[in-house]
Amino acid sequence: MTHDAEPLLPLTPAVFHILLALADQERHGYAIMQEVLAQTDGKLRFGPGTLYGTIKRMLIANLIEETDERPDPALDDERRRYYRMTDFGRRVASAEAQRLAHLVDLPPFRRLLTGGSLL
Amino acid sequence: MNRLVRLSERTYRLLLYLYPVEHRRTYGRSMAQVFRDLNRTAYAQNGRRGILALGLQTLADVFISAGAEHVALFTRRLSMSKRSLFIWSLTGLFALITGYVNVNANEVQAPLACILLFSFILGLLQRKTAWLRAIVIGLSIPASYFLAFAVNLKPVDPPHLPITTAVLVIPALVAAYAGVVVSLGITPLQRRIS
Repeated sequence: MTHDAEPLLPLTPAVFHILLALADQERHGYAIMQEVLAQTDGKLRFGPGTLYGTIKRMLIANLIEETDERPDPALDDERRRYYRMTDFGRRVASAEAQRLAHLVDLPPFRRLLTGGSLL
Repeated sequence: MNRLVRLSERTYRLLLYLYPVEHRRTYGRSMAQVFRDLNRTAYAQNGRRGILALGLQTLADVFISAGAEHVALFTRRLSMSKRSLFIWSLTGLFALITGYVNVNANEVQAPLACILLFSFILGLLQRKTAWLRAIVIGLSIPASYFLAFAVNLKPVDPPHLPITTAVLVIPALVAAYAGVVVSLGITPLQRRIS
Protein backbone atom coordinates (compact mmCIF):
# COMPACT_ATOMS: atom_id res chain seq x y z
CA MET A 1 0.00 0.00 0.00
CA THR A 2 1.38 3.41 -0.96
CA HIS A 3 2.06 5.86 1.85
CA ASP A 4 2.34 8.89 -0.36
CA ALA A 5 -0.26 11.54 0.50
CA GLU A 6 -0.30 13.34 -2.88
CA PRO A 7 -2.37 10.83 -4.91
CA LEU A 8 -5.23 11.19 -2.41
CA LEU A 9 -5.50 14.98 -2.76
CA PRO A 10 -7.73 16.90 -3.01
CA LEU A 11 -9.79 15.35 -0.26
CA THR A 12 -13.57 15.55 -0.29
CA PRO A 13 -15.02 17.88 2.38
CA ALA A 14 -16.46 14.88 4.26
CA VAL A 15 -13.10 13.10 4.45
CA PHE A 16 -11.20 16.24 5.44
CA HIS A 17 -13.64 17.19 8.16
CA ILE A 18 -13.73 13.68 9.58
CA LEU A 19 -9.93 13.77 9.76
CA LEU A 20 -10.12 17.16 11.50
CA ALA A 21 -12.68 15.75 13.95
CA LEU A 22 -10.22 12.98 14.84
CA ALA A 23 -7.18 15.28 14.99
CA ASP A 24 -7.09 15.65 18.76
CA GLN A 25 -8.91 12.57 20.05
CA GLU A 26 -10.61 9.35 19.04
CA ARG A 27 -14.37 9.52 18.58
CA HIS A 28 -17.34 7.34 17.70
CA GLY A 29 -19.63 8.00 14.72
CA TYR A 30 -22.15 10.29 16.39
CA ALA A 31 -19.40 12.31 18.09
CA ILE A 32 -17.68 12.72 14.70
CA MET A 33 -20.91 14.09 13.21
CA GLN A 34 -21.36 16.51 16.13
CA GLU A 35 -17.75 17.71 15.82
CA VAL A 36 -18.09 18.25 12.06
CA LEU A 37 -21.29 20.25 12.63
CA ALA A 38 -19.49 22.39 15.21
CA GLN A 39 -16.43 22.91 12.95
CA THR A 40 -18.57 24.03 10.00
CA ASP A 41 -21.16 26.02 11.96
CA GLY A 42 -23.87 23.54 10.98
CA LYS A 43 -23.12 23.89 7.27
CA LEU A 44 -21.76 20.40 6.66
CA ARG A 45 -24.32 17.86 7.67
CA PHE A 46 -24.38 14.26 6.53
CA GLY A 47 -26.49 11.28 7.40
CA PRO A 48 -25.43 7.93 8.90
CA GLY A 49 -25.21 6.39 5.42
CA THR A 50 -22.77 8.98 4.12
CA LEU A 51 -20.82 8.93 7.39
CA TYR A 52 -20.23 5.18 7.44
CA GLY A 53 -19.66 4.98 3.68
CA THR A 54 -16.91 7.56 4.12
CA ILE A 55 -15.54 5.84 7.24
CA LYS A 56 -15.38 2.55 5.30
CA ARG A 57 -13.37 4.14 2.49
CA MET A 58 -11.09 5.91 4.96
CA LEU A 59 -10.43 2.59 6.76
CA ILE A 60 -9.54 0.96 3.44
CA ALA A 61 -7.23 3.87 2.58
CA ASN A 62 -5.62 3.58 6.04
CA LEU A 63 -6.48 7.18 6.92
CA ILE A 64 -8.21 6.08 10.12
CA GLU A 65 -8.40 2.92 12.20
CA GLU A 66 -10.92 1.46 14.56
CA THR A 67 -9.70 1.38 18.15
CA ASP A 68 -12.28 -0.33 20.32
CA GLU A 69 -15.93 -0.57 21.27
CA ARG A 70 -17.01 1.02 24.50
CA PRO A 71 -19.94 3.05 25.85
CA ASP A 72 -19.91 6.84 25.78
CA PRO A 73 -20.77 7.94 29.32
CA ALA A 74 -22.18 11.22 27.96
CA LEU A 75 -24.83 9.37 25.95
CA ASP A 76 -25.90 5.96 27.19
CA ASP A 77 -24.37 2.63 28.10
CA GLU A 78 -24.50 1.16 24.60
CA ARG A 79 -21.15 0.14 23.16
CA ARG A 80 -19.96 2.33 20.29
CA ARG A 81 -17.15 1.88 17.77
CA TYR A 82 -14.36 4.41 18.20
CA TYR A 83 -12.03 5.62 15.46
CA ARG A 84 -8.73 7.46 15.42
CA MET A 85 -6.48 8.98 12.76
CA THR A 86 -3.49 6.91 11.62
CA ASP A 87 -0.05 8.44 11.07
CA PHE A 88 -0.70 8.27 7.35
CA GLY A 89 -4.06 9.98 7.87
CA ARG A 90 -2.29 12.75 9.76
CA ARG A 91 0.16 13.22 6.87
CA VAL A 92 -2.70 13.36 4.35
CA ALA A 93 -4.68 15.85 6.47
CA SER A 94 -1.57 17.99 6.79
CA ALA A 95 -0.95 17.85 3.02
CA GLU A 96 -4.55 18.89 2.37
CA ALA A 97 -4.31 21.74 4.89
CA GLN A 98 -1.15 22.99 3.17
CA ARG A 99 -2.84 22.77 -0.22
CA LEU A 100 -5.78 24.86 1.04
CA ALA A 101 -3.46 27.34 2.76
CA HIS A 102 -1.59 27.80 -0.52
CA LEU A 103 -4.89 28.42 -2.34
CA VAL A 104 -5.99 31.02 0.20
CA ASP A 105 -2.67 32.82 -0.32
CA LEU A 106 -3.29 33.32 -4.03
CA PRO A 107 -4.20 36.94 -4.96
CA PRO A 108 -7.55 36.13 -6.68
CA PHE A 109 -8.63 34.20 -3.60
CA ARG A 110 -7.67 37.07 -1.30
CA ARG A 111 -9.63 39.47 -3.49
CA LEU A 112 -12.65 37.16 -3.26
CA LEU A 113 -12.39 37.14 0.52
CA THR A 114 -12.30 40.93 0.71
CA GLY A 115 -15.19 41.23 -1.75
CA GLY A 116 -12.99 42.71 -4.46
CA SER A 117 -13.07 41.97 -8.19
CA LEU A 118 -11.29 38.95 -9.61
CA LEU A 119 -9.85 41.05 -12.46
CA MET B 1 -40.63 7.22 24.68
CA ASN B 2 -42.71 8.96 22.05
CA ARG B 3 -44.45 6.66 19.54
CA LEU B 4 -43.27 8.75 16.59
CA VAL B 5 -39.65 8.49 17.76
CA ARG B 6 -39.95 4.70 18.03
CA LEU B 7 -41.67 4.43 14.63
CA SER B 8 -39.01 6.58 13.02
CA GLU B 9 -36.23 4.40 14.42
CA ARG B 10 -37.99 1.20 13.36
CA THR B 11 -38.46 2.60 9.85
CA TYR B 12 -34.77 3.43 9.61
CA ARG B 13 -33.82 -0.10 10.64
CA LEU B 14 -36.01 -1.38 7.78
CA LEU B 15 -34.42 1.08 5.32
CA LEU B 16 -31.02 -0.41 6.21
CA TYR B 17 -32.08 -3.46 4.14
CA LEU B 18 -31.53 -1.30 1.06
CA TYR B 19 -27.79 -1.53 1.66
CA PRO B 20 -25.69 -4.48 0.42
CA VAL B 21 -25.64 -7.37 2.89
CA GLU B 22 -21.96 -7.11 3.75
CA HIS B 23 -22.16 -3.37 4.39
CA ARG B 24 -25.26 -3.81 6.53
CA ARG B 25 -23.61 -6.58 8.57
CA THR B 26 -20.51 -4.48 9.21
CA TYR B 27 -22.03 -1.04 9.79
CA GLY B 28 -25.79 -1.54 10.22
CA ARG B 29 -25.74 -1.49 14.00
CA SER B 30 -23.56 1.63 14.13
CA MET B 31 -25.73 3.40 11.54
CA ALA B 32 -28.90 2.57 13.50
CA GLN B 33 -27.21 3.84 16.67
CA VAL B 34 -26.23 7.16 15.06
CA PHE B 35 -29.71 7.62 13.59
CA ARG B 36 -31.24 6.96 17.00
CA ASP B 37 -29.01 9.63 18.57
CA LEU B 38 -29.87 12.12 15.80
CA ASN B 39 -33.56 11.27 16.07
CA ARG B 40 -33.76 11.82 19.82
CA THR B 41 -31.81 15.08 19.53
CA ALA B 42 -34.12 16.26 16.72
CA TYR B 43 -37.18 15.45 18.84
CA ALA B 44 -35.73 17.11 21.94
CA GLN B 45 -34.95 20.30 19.96
CA ASN B 46 -37.90 20.58 17.57
CA GLY B 47 -40.46 17.95 18.46
CA ARG B 48 -42.41 16.30 15.63
CA ARG B 49 -41.22 18.83 13.07
CA GLY B 50 -37.62 17.93 13.94
CA ILE B 51 -38.32 14.23 13.40
CA LEU B 52 -40.00 14.91 10.06
CA ALA B 53 -37.13 17.11 8.84
CA LEU B 54 -34.57 14.51 9.92
CA GLY B 55 -36.65 11.77 8.30
CA LEU B 56 -36.66 13.54 4.93
CA GLN B 57 -32.91 14.24 5.09
CA THR B 58 -32.21 10.66 6.12
CA LEU B 59 -34.36 9.25 3.32
CA ALA B 60 -32.25 11.14 0.79
CA ASP B 61 -29.08 10.00 2.59
CA VAL B 62 -30.20 6.35 2.47
CA PHE B 63 -31.03 6.37 -1.23
CA ILE B 64 -27.82 8.13 -2.22
CA SER B 65 -25.45 6.19 0.04
CA ALA B 66 -27.13 2.78 -0.52
CA GLY B 67 -26.95 3.44 -4.26
CA ALA B 68 -23.27 4.32 -3.95
CA GLU B 69 -22.56 1.13 -1.99
CA HIS B 70 -24.33 -1.02 -4.61
CA VAL B 71 -22.38 0.67 -7.41
CA ALA B 72 -19.09 0.13 -5.51
CA LEU B 73 -19.96 -3.54 -4.99
CA PHE B 74 -20.88 -3.99 -8.66
CA THR B 75 -17.63 -2.32 -9.78
CA ARG B 76 -15.63 -4.54 -7.43
CA ARG B 77 -17.34 -7.68 -8.77
CA LEU B 78 -16.84 -6.52 -12.37
CA SER B 79 -13.09 -6.01 -11.86
CA MET B 80 -12.86 -9.45 -10.23
CA SER B 81 -14.63 -11.11 -13.15
CA LYS B 82 -12.36 -9.25 -15.63
CA ARG B 83 -9.38 -10.79 -13.87
CA SER B 84 -11.00 -14.19 -13.98
CA LEU B 85 -11.64 -13.77 -17.71
CA PHE B 86 -8.01 -12.82 -18.25
CA ILE B 87 -6.74 -15.87 -16.33
CA TRP B 88 -8.98 -18.23 -18.31
CA SER B 89 -7.96 -16.63 -21.62
CA LEU B 90 -4.34 -17.15 -20.60
CA THR B 91 -5.14 -20.78 -19.75
CA GLY B 92 -6.64 -21.30 -23.20
CA LEU B 93 -3.60 -19.72 -24.86
CA PHE B 94 -1.19 -21.85 -22.81
CA ALA B 95 -3.19 -24.98 -23.66
CA LEU B 96 -3.00 -24.14 -27.38
CA ILE B 97 0.75 -23.51 -27.22
CA THR B 98 1.31 -26.75 -25.27
CA GLY B 99 -0.78 -28.71 -27.78
CA TYR B 100 1.06 -27.16 -30.72
CA VAL B 101 4.48 -27.88 -29.20
CA ASN B 102 3.39 -31.44 -28.43
CA VAL B 103 2.19 -32.17 -31.97
CA ASN B 104 5.44 -30.84 -33.44
CA ALA B 105 7.90 -32.28 -30.92
CA ASN B 106 9.67 -35.62 -31.25
CA GLU B 107 10.75 -35.64 -27.59
CA VAL B 108 8.62 -35.46 -24.47
CA GLN B 109 10.79 -32.75 -22.81
CA ALA B 110 9.37 -29.78 -24.73
CA PRO B 111 5.65 -30.40 -24.05
CA LEU B 112 6.46 -31.44 -20.48
CA ALA B 113 8.39 -28.19 -19.94
CA CYS B 114 5.35 -26.29 -21.27
CA ILE B 115 3.02 -28.15 -18.90
CA LEU B 116 5.22 -27.47 -15.88
CA LEU B 117 5.93 -23.82 -16.70
CA PHE B 118 2.38 -22.84 -17.70
CA SER B 119 0.73 -24.66 -14.77
CA PHE B 120 3.17 -23.00 -12.36
CA ILE B 121 2.42 -19.55 -13.79
CA LEU B 122 -1.34 -20.10 -13.59
CA GLY B 123 -1.08 -21.35 -9.99
CA LEU B 124 0.98 -18.27 -9.14
CA LEU B 125 -1.56 -15.91 -10.73
CA GLN B 126 -4.68 -17.34 -9.13
CA ARG B 127 -4.75 -19.75 -6.21
CA LYS B 128 -8.47 -20.40 -6.33
CA THR B 129 -9.35 -23.38 -8.62
CA ALA B 130 -5.70 -23.78 -9.67
CA TRP B 131 -6.45 -27.51 -9.98
CA LEU B 132 -9.00 -26.85 -12.73
CA ARG B 133 -6.54 -24.90 -14.87
CA ALA B 134 -3.87 -27.56 -14.28
CA ILE B 135 -6.28 -30.18 -15.62
CA VAL B 136 -6.93 -28.07 -18.73
CA ILE B 137 -3.18 -27.73 -19.37
CA GLY B 138 -2.56 -31.43 -18.68
CA LEU B 139 -5.40 -32.54 -20.96
CA SER B 140 -4.20 -30.26 -23.76
CA ILE B 141 -1.72 -33.05 -24.65
CA PRO B 142 -4.24 -35.82 -25.43
CA ALA B 143 -6.59 -33.18 -26.83
CA SER B 144 -3.88 -32.02 -29.27
CA TYR B 145 -3.59 -35.57 -30.69
CA PHE B 146 -7.32 -35.84 -31.20
CA LEU B 147 -7.44 -32.39 -32.78
CA ALA B 148 -4.50 -33.26 -35.05
CA PHE B 149 -6.28 -36.42 -36.22
CA ALA B 150 -9.49 -34.46 -36.70
CA VAL B 151 -7.84 -31.93 -39.04
CA ASN B 152 -5.73 -34.59 -40.76
CA LEU B 153 -2.47 -33.36 -39.35
CA LYS B 154 0.20 -35.95 -38.62
CA PRO B 155 1.86 -35.47 -35.19
CA VAL B 156 5.64 -35.88 -35.25
CA ASP B 157 5.80 -38.69 -32.71
CA PRO B 158 2.33 -39.83 -31.63
CA PRO B 159 2.04 -42.40 -28.80
CA HIS B 160 0.37 -45.73 -29.38
CA LEU B 161 -2.57 -44.77 -27.19
CA PRO B 162 -2.88 -40.93 -27.04
CA ILE B 163 -5.36 -41.11 -24.15
CA THR B 164 -2.59 -42.40 -21.89
CA THR B 165 -0.99 -38.98 -22.07
CA ALA B 166 -3.81 -37.81 -19.79
CA VAL B 167 -1.47 -38.92 -16.99
CA LEU B 168 0.36 -35.63 -17.65
CA VAL B 169 -2.37 -33.97 -15.56
CA ILE B 170 -0.37 -35.14 -12.53
CA PRO B 171 2.77 -33.05 -13.17
CA ALA B 172 0.45 -30.18 -14.18
CA LEU B 173 -1.25 -30.34 -10.79
CA VAL B 174 2.09 -30.50 -8.97
CA ALA B 175 3.42 -27.47 -10.88
CA ALA B 176 0.17 -25.52 -10.35
CA TYR B 177 0.31 -26.01 -6.59
CA ALA B 178 3.99 -25.17 -6.53
CA GLY B 179 2.87 -21.84 -8.03
CA VAL B 180 0.19 -21.54 -5.34
CA VAL B 181 2.75 -22.16 -2.57
CA VAL B 182 5.11 -19.53 -4.02
CA SER B 183 2.25 -17.01 -4.30
CA LEU B 184 1.37 -17.63 -0.63
CA GLY B 185 4.96 -16.79 0.24
CA ILE B 186 4.94 -13.64 -1.90
CA THR B 187 1.76 -12.08 -0.44
CA PRO B 188 3.04 -11.45 3.14
CA LEU B 189 6.31 -10.15 1.63
CA GLN B 190 4.34 -7.67 -0.52
CA ARG B 191 2.40 -6.53 2.56
CA ARG B 192 5.64 -6.03 4.50
CA ILE B 193 7.17 -3.98 1.68
CA SER B 194 4.08 -1.79 1.34
